[in-house]
Parts: sequence; C-alpha cells; structure tokens
Amino acid sequence: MNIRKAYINPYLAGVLLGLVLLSSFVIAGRGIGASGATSQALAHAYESLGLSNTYLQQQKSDGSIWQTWIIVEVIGMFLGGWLSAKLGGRYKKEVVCGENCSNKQRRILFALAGGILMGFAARLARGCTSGQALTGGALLSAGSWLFMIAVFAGAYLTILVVKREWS
Amino acid sequence: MSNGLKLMAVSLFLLGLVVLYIGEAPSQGSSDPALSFDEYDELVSAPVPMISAVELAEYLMQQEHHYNLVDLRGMDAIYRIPTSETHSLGSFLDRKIPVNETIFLYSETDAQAVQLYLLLNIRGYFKVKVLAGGARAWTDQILRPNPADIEKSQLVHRQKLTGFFGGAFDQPGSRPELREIILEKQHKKHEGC
Amino acid sequence: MNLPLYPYEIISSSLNLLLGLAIGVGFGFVLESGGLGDARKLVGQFLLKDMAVFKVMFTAIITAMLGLFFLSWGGWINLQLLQVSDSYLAPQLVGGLILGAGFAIAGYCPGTTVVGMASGKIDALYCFVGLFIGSWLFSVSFTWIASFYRSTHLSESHLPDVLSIQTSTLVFLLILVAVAGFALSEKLESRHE
Repeated sequence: MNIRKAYINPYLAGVLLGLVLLSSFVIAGRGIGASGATSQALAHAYESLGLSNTYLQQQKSDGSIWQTWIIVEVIGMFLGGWLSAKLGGRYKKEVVCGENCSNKQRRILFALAGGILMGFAARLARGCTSGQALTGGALLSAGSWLFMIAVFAGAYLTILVVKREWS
Repeated sequence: MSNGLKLMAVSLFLLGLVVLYIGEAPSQGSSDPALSFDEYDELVSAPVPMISAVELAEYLMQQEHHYNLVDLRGMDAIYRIPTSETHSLGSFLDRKIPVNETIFLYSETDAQAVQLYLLLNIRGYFKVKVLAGGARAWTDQILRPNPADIEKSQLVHRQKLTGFFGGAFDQPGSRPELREIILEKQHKKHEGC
Repeated sequence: MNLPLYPYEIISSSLNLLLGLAIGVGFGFVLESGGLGDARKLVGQFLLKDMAVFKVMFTAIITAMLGLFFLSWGGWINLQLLQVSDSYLAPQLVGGLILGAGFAIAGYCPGTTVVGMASGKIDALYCFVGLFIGSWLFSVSFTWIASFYRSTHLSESHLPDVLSIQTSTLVFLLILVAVAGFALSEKLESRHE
C-alpha cells in the first residue's frame, strides 16, 4: 500500500487521545506516560546486573519488568504507532529532517542530543508531555500546567537558535 | 474559520456553560451515609474480617507493604504495636484516606475495633481487618506467649516472631524486659510516568 | 459503578496490564494518525507553521478533563483513587524548559519518539537512545540534584484549591482559553498558506 493517506484532523485526534487518556484513568486509575519507561527499564536492568543506584532503586516498580504498567503501555504505543503507519502507508525507513535534508548525520546527532536533554529533563520534572502535560493537565495539577507552559516556552526560545536546522 | 470549527467552538463553549451551571460536584458520598434496615441487617450479620495476632506479626515483619495500623485505645496505653497510629473513631474517619487502602484495627479487646470496622465499611472501605482479640491477643501471642500453648512444629517460627518484636517466651520465674525494635513501613508506592 | 477499576480491585493486575497494553496501542495509533510521529509536523508547531501539537494536546486535555468532571458529578468515579503526581514547582519549571529545548532540537517529545520509531524513522531511534542516556545521566547524578529535585513541594497541588476557585470555574476558564487558543491557531496557520 503505497498511497500516503492523509493525517486525521488534529481536533479529532485530540478528542480520541482524550478518550484514550480518560479510559486510562477509568481502568488503571492512572494517566498515560512515556518517559517513565526509560527509568523503569534502567532500574530493572540495574537490579539484574547487581548494580545499585539510589534513584533507580526508589523508582523501580515491584514485580518484574513485564509486570510494570508503563513498560507494557509503551510497548503498546510502539505497536499502535506501527499499525497506524502501516495502514496509512506512512511506514518508511528514513531520516526525517527539515526541507533541506543534506546532512543526515547532523540531523541524527541533533536527534540524539535532544533525546539526552529530554531524557534528563523528564526525570527531573517527574514526567514528560504525556505524563505531566496530558495527564497532570487533565487532573488540574498545578505543577503539570507550569511544566506544560515551560515546555512550550523552552521550545519556542530554542527554535530561535536552531531554526536553520529545520529549514 | 470553517463551519465545522465554528460548530466545535460553540459546542465547547456550551459545554463550558453546563459545567459552570453544575458547579461544585456533590462530594464523594455524604459525610453521614445512612443504611436501610436491610443493608444494616446484612452488614451486622456478616462476619467481620479478622486477622490473628500471628498473621499480623508475619505481615508486619515483612516490612514490604503499605498499610494503616490503627490503635484505638486511649492515651494511657504503655505499649503500642510498632508503626501503629493512635486514633479515636472520629479522628480516623476524619483522615478520609482512600477507600482502597489496607487497614488493620485493634483496641484492647475487639469491641471498639469492630465498631470502627462497621463505620468504615459503610463508607466504602473494603480492605479493613480487625485484630482478633485486640491488644491482649498481641501480648499473649506475640510479646509473651506461653510455650505450652504452642504446637511443637510451630515453636521455632513463633520464637522468631516473638524475638523480632522484642518479646520473649513466658518462662516461670523470669520477667525479661521488652526490647525496643525498629519496624519499617513502606510508603505508598507511586508508579512513575 | 465503582471506577477506577483497578484501584477498586474489580480487575486483576494481569487484566490491568493487558488493558494497559491496549491503552498504549490506542495512544500510539491516535498519535501517528494525527501526524505527531513526524518530526517535521511536530517542529512546525514551534515555527508557528503547523499548530497540530497544540490542537491535539489541548483538545485531549479538555476532553479527558470534562470526562472526569462529568463522571465525578454522576458519582461514578472516585477521584481520590486516581494516582496524581505531587507538584514540585522548581524542578517542573526547569525540567519543562529543558524538555522544550530538547523537543525543538530533536523534533520529538518522548511519547512521539516511540511513535516515530514505530513508523521507521531512524532519527527517532537515535532520539530514543538519547532518552535512555539522559535518564541514566539523571540517575547517576541524583545525589547532587536530589535536594533540588525535592524542593518547592506544594502540599496542595490541585489547581482549583491553589487558586481558591471552584473546579467548575477553572474548567470553564480553561475551555475559554482553549477556544481562544484554537481560534489563534487557525489564524496563524492560515497566515502561512
């Protein structure tokens, strides 16, 4: 299937996403998340390797890694994303960059660097856009709204500096 | 802006007005939940979930759980089970902890604990247990048990429990002091996001 | 109706995990369908070209928020049993700024990284590796950051209480903000066409 189907209307996507989030509250008694999977994976890996780390030990879920909700949920995210991409004819092994995709290596370096910043920041803020902004936002948590505003502020400020990467 | 979007904006605004009209949602359950005669009948004739002193000691000793251990005796009790909180019926209800938390209640005997169990039950708490025999049972079975009352096969295990809580088997003539112990209770585990 | 299901122990932890998988599938599917698995679209938000990120996020928050409000109003859900992360203002502010910076640089946020990877994007894969590295860096530097991490804790993090207004009032205000935001977004996007 090579026909690239169009994305759905963002407002519709938002409503559907909101319903997914609501079902998470209603079923599991918690919201969705993404970044937490990294600390859980690290925490369980550390334990099996016999390494110790205060933060990871404190964060580690009880039970095995496969009994950890956020790990299972993120695996689901991967599956869902894959399914949607395949059905939409949008699955493609490629490096995505701005209009001018001349330097792929630079793009990958930036992706890695950005990831490192986000990985650190998400642990500091106790969540990311999924966990803190969406979940905390819907639950009207003060810190989460502050976090969300800060994310947009940080992104808009940074884009002034890295604009050229995307043009 | 297209018509679809205008429609969405208007519907959203109207929903907002509905929310404003509803105002403060009624609080979760009323502060004085009343039961019908049948419900009350059913409640008092059903058996009260109990936990024996030995079972409680085993549970506490694991130091792996989050729970609420409530001591309902007055201010003058000398010994309190480690990690317990002292409350009156009213003060514990006022804490309004989440209804799915594990709660163990004990008083001098069972009486007060069973009362609080009933009050908690009608407020939706579903993980409440009463220490069978109350504080007296704890003293008799854990702190200073009579080895003659214990089955031979259980002696080693009971010795371990008693020792852990700072007590000793009751021996004729000796009156050993109660040791102070440190018991850890887990905080409520919060799975990250 | 006793919601949420898992805290009320209406479903087992295994079923909860299975449903968690389903929820994840829904999450990933919707994100990708909305185009949020593509870095170009995501960054378009910060170039003020494509406001999809804002539209999706805000609509989702409003939808879930309204859902919770009405479920609570009908007495179907016990909000106290929902897991809420406490607010720590300073780390959340600083973390947000840094995450925003990373977002602009990488072109993904943690959730969309997974979805990007799932649609074959190699840059998303590297970003994902970066997430692990960043997370690991945090863990190993924890001793130095711990006091900052635990600072500025709000004992009351529920926004209506913080602002001393009713929940319904805040929900209404947020709806107004959403509608205004959407109108502005449409304007910004049409300017680019």
